[in-house]
Amino acid sequence: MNKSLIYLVFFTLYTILILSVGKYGISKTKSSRDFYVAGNSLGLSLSIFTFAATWLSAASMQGLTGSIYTYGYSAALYAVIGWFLGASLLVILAVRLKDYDIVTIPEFFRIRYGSRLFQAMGGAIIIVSYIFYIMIQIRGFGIVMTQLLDIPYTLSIFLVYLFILYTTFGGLYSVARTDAVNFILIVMGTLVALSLVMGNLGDITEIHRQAMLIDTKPFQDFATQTPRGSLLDPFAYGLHPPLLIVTVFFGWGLGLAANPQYAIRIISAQSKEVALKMIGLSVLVLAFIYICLILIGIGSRVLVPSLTGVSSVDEIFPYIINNILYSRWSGFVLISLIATAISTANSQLLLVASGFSHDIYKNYLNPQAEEDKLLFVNRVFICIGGTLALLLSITPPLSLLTFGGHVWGIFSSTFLVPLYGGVFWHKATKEGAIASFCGGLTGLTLFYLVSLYLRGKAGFLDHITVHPAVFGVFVSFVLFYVVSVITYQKEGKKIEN
Amino acid sequence: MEKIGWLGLPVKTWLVIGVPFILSALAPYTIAMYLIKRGRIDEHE
Repeated sequence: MNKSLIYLVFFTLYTILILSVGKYGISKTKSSRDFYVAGNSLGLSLSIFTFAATWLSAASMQGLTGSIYTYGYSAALYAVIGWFLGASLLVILAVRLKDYDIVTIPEFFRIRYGSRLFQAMGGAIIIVSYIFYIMIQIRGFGIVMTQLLDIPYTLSIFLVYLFILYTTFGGLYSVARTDAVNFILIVMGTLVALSLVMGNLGDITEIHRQAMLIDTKPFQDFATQTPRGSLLDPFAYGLHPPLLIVTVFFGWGLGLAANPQYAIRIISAQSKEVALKMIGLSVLVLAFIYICLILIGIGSRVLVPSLTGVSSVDEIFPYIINNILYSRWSGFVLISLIATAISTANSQLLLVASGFSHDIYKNYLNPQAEEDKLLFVNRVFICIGGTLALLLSITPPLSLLTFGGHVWGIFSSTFLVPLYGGVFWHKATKEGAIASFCGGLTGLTLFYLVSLYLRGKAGFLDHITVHPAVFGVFVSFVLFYVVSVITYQKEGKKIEN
Repeated sequence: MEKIGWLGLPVKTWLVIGVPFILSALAPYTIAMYLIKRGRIDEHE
């Protein structure tokens, strides 16, 4: 059968599957609590599916695999270990956060610190950050669809737009169920891709022995030639400097620990025990998938040490599956890549909608808004947020993995300290938290601007050796502590007088 | 000459990436089960 026809069959089956599963939430959703957190009703299996599917994005599947192909094992140190460490912090957060009756994370800021303004500020950060991050998913989807249906990139990204809007319209009920379908596809697709790679290579020891000898450019447009042996070196012989590897934790790791897309899964779980098990078990499953992706990346490099027809790291995985390792199952693997992009993007679009409708509109602009009106505003904002992300993805970032780390840095610089400080430190004050939030954001922005001025050219973020989130988190932490201590003492004196 | 360990991966890579990968992957589950078994999750309910 013709290759395009096989791909079209896979894509049609996937579309039917997602459309039929996604409509569940549209009739089930009766209130904004249903819409944002599925009425706090998610059991363990659905919680694991939605947590893990949201976690696995195009940055993981295409960004990481392509980076492993390009840089070798250092790419795992760059991102994956930091993500897992961030998940440990989430477990600790879950124990206390679940005590709060909230439906969004910025709502925690209002309840804990007594500030409607702070909740609105949190909502604004969520809107901006996730629109940028959805752009990553649209970019990833666009690359795969271009391979899958042989259509132009701009037309491809329009298709993902329709998918994301549809699966988000039913709120978390729809998102969680489509996430379950997508996650099963992701696991199966990863295993198929691994078997295609390993079937051509043999055992892992032999792959590593051959990887050690590679000294070509990964693809023609890439700036540097791979030094012999660097694919197995923890720091890729300097291509990923140790300082960058350590400091990237402040973006990826701490950004994950403070990320509303994970924290909200704690709230949507039906109990604390479910929330804790969800995080722990999800990370175990994810670790297995990452081992597969690492082997796919390094194995692909051994199979084809230098690629032609590829212009970015993120195109490598789909290109290899479609061209080098083509089989009747290639379409299935490409569909699993699409599933990663959709399962992350719809969760994030849901948060964009809640950031506006709950944290800004209902909290600040129209506190008397009724449920029907809120649900309508949610769906309107889903369209607006999705459209903005679509427009931005027409000119996408160079590397999904690098760009994603910078977006996560916004969360570590703004949400991390007020969230964990508010939960675990009783002396934390409203003034300290707002100063921390604003200071962290200012610190991060200043670092970007100063770096931009010093380097004087676009694309500099791909080459810096200290992650910008370090400065943001440091300023955020110092201001939180100092301002809280000062204002807490003043409050104490007022009460004594 | 670089020392090669299990599965043909350099020992240095096992120490810097392999071991932290395994430990960091196990940590969330270990902490979660510890908190559940010690009954810590009920303290604030």
